[in-house]
Amino acid sequence: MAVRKFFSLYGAMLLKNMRESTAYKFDFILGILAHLLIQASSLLLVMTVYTHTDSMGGFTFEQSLILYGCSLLATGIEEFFLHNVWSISRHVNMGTLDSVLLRPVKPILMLVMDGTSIHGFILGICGVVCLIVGFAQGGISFGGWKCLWLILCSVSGAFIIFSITLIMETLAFWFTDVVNAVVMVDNLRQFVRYPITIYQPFIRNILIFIIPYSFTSFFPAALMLDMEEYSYYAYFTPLIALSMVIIASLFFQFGLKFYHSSGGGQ
Amino acid sequence: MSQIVVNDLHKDFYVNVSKGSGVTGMVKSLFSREKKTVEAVKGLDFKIEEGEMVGFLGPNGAGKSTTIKMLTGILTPSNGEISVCGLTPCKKRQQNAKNIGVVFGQRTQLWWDLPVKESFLLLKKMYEIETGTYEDNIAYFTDLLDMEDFLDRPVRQLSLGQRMRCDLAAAFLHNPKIIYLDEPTIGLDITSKKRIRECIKETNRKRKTTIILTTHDMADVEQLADRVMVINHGKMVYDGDMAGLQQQYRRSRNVVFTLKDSRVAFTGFRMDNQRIEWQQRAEELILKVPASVSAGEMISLVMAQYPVEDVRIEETPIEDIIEEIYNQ
Repeated sequence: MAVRKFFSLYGAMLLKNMRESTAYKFDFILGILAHLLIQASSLLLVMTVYTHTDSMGGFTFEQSLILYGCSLLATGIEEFFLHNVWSISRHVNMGTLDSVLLRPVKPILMLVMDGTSIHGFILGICGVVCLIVGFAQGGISFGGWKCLWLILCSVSGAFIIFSITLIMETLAFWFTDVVNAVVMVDNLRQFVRYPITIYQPFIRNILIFIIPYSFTSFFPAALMLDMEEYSYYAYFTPLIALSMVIIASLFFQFGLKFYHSSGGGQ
Repeated sequence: MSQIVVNDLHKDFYVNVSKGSGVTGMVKSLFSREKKTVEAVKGLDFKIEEGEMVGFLGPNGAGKSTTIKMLTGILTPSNGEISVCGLTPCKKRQQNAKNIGVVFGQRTQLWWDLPVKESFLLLKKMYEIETGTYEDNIAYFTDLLDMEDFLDRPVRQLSLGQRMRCDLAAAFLHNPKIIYLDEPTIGLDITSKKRIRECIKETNRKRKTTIILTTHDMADVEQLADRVMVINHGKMVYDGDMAGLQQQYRRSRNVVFTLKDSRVAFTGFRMDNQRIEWQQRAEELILKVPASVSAGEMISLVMAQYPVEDVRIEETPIEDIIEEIYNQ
């Protein structure tokens, strides 16, 4: 499918997704309020920690705010554009992957296009607010170069989160119900909302080399904060994202062969 | 070459065997699992030509849906080959998708919260349908399926009959060469069934679209299928036309006489050394004639001995024939 046609379809599907998310108004408004509350309480937790100490793992409050903002931005992009990857295990379990496989579009693209979490938008905005406050209050320099890398790293971060979730969700082709495992791995992302310098090397290495969530927040933040010790890692973020997307997609393609749908009763 | 060629098609499923019931069974099967192979399809061979209307029959669990899912590319065969319009469906899934349309009677493929019209527009983009073709098709199917009144409504608000009509139209929008219909009339009332059958027939006639349908409604088969394929336990048990099916599996038919006088008592008789089963209720006399005996000869024999007012032959209903095959 030509790139132009893909984006035309993607746009139409995104519009459809927005319509679907706002179809039930009460649910929509309640969802927004709930997400704002969750963000506020997480932020409150960070603020509470800093009433007891001036520095956490070498990060001041403003620096932590930037770290938190980077994490939210990547999460927000993932939730808004790529979040439907979470539906794979449900589709496999219920046999509804059938209709996805009947479309003349690559199954993984079809899946990603077919849903959005509009709350990603809220997360993104919260992230931007955290970043603005962090940069302004902390007196940290910001410019075109950093802006470019912030965007690049956030998008890459979103794709890293997406790829890890895709790999976990693909396990559903063999184990049918994998929601708990996916949630467990995804919860590791809670760790990277704080400087990974505060963790034991063991956990730190897992978050860098095995499940590289630290590239969705810590390393981009280090680049924003001119922390020379870690900022070099950030330049690898797009490369890591790209290779993870390729690995995850191939794994998903392989898993498709093992899809066994559901019985005739459906 | 035929449009669809299937060679020695197999599909095995692996199922976990649970060990005992209750908590102990749950714990046991958590730690050691026994796998069992279930052969859903065991060596199917068939060919289907362009423009054919094929009824795919079989009892629940015979392997019909599994076969359809392999033909559409959803499932990968365990063994054997499939070629649909020259493509291997599970390898060239996207290309194959453009050649086919699929309707699952039990599940909609339209978007639940979206007005039908918008679902159609999304399909237009997805299948890259030319605007002219799209508009012609929308007009054609809106008219044929009488959908005008509910095109603006979201799918979740439609009745089953309306939803099925929309699903059918959606499957036809991109002018597919082949349409697979998996129980398209399930749960529908007489009028909706009729309308759907007419649409299928008409489109087959006008566009030479190949139709492959599975159903449990024999009226669907009688009205739509030129050819029936019956599978049971994953194997083909019959492939041919309806008349042949009746001939091959018909054991007997009933000949019903109306006698002029209800006081005449039938005493029974033998033909070709076979005892003919019979039953008399007042003036109505029913004889069960085996397939090997000529009904004509028998009728003239009875008429020579008894005062007959009227005669009719009742063919075995197709349902009974199918049931007979299923139970084999």
